[in-house]
Amino acid sequence: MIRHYRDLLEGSVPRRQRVLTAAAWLILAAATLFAFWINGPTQSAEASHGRIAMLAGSTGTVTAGRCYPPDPIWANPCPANPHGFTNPYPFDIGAPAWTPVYAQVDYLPNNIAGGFITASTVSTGCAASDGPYSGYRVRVEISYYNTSGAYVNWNHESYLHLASTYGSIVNGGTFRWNNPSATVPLWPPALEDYRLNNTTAGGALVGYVHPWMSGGSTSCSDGAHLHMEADSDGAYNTSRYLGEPVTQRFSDIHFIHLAGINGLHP
Amino acid sequence: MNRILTSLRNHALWAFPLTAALIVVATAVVLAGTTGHGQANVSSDDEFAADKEARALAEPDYSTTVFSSAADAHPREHSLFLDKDGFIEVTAYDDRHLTDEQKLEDPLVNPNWEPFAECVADHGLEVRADPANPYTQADLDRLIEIVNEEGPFEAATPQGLVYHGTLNSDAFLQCAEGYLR
Repeated sequence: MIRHYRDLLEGSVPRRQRVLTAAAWLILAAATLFAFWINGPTQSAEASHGRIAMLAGSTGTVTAGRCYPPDPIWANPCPANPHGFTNPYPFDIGAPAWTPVYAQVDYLPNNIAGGFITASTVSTGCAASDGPYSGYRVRVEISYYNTSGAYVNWNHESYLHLASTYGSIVNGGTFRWNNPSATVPLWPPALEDYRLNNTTAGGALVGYVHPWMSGGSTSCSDGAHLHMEADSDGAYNTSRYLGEPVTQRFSDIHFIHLAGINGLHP
Repeated sequence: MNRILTSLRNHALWAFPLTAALIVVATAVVLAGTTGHGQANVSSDDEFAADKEARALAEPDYSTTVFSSAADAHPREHSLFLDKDGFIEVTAYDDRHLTDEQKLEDPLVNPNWEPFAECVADHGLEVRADPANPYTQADLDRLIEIVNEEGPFEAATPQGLVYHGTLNSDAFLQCAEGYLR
């Protein structure tokens, strides 16, 4: 075949065949581009089997994340002093003061019925000493039960730089949630405190973005924004990019693979 | 005979890439429809948004529920201080945007470490060579390491995560709940 193409280049093949061959190769190139386009990284690629997501806590614009392999998507080159964090996958959303902050999960399969959700303030150095300037830290913990009533798994997500006007979920004990898309809800209506896995219609109000005030430590924060951190089962959503607008309870920020959550979301 | 072979050869020159193009398109269409994009079978931002909005409209069917009473399942204990493997974990106190070296040069002290240290010392959990020395993150980390040698302290059961403590983990968690929240 290679020898035949050499003949083609040397001009020993009729002009009509040469044109047809060139056109065929152009069609193959176009078909390849079409294949990449139809299977390319649109937002829909964010969903995959058994993978759930913690959604953007607030509406705003992606401002920072830690560099990670293979290529840093947040800054190029990566800053010498990477973004500070105490839990994995730190992620910043530039959001104005008093923007509501919600905890919300997505892509739960319909055999996950619901569970418990708790939210606690965490007393770290920045929250304790710099809180009045740069805000406070809240950790939200969500546990999952299946439609047979068996415990499946849990994860936690941290929200930083919050005002001290928290949602009633914070330090309020343990609350119960249902997955509205489950084949059977976990709790009867009288025991349901929250609905998760229903994007913009649900979630738990954690608090509001702190109105940053100058005078605090620049090592803690230098402006109003929401900082999110996942847990060890988490991962970045690599389709996010610097400067991208994200919407609370809609945009996937962290992906999580939790053992026992394997089904497809409806 | 030669004319036929030459004709076949010339047709193969364009038939080969054309056949490959057909295969590529067919495979791409099949893949887009069945995998990956996967579970939701959505292939555009509009469909992605519609998929999200569909879940926002979902309403639970309460005709039957898994549990009928709050007593049917219990939340876990000590949620802030046990990690995903059931070992004790305390969020590092110094969460400033500094390198480890910078933090060592200018350490941040938790004022609650001293009362916490007194609390655990009352249970025989003193890790400092001299208790008169100020308590540090390193002391806390060392204590966690010692107590965790008896772990894990939490096990997954069908009813939920159940805490199985030892005298040391009980003491640590009691003091942590009191001073490190």
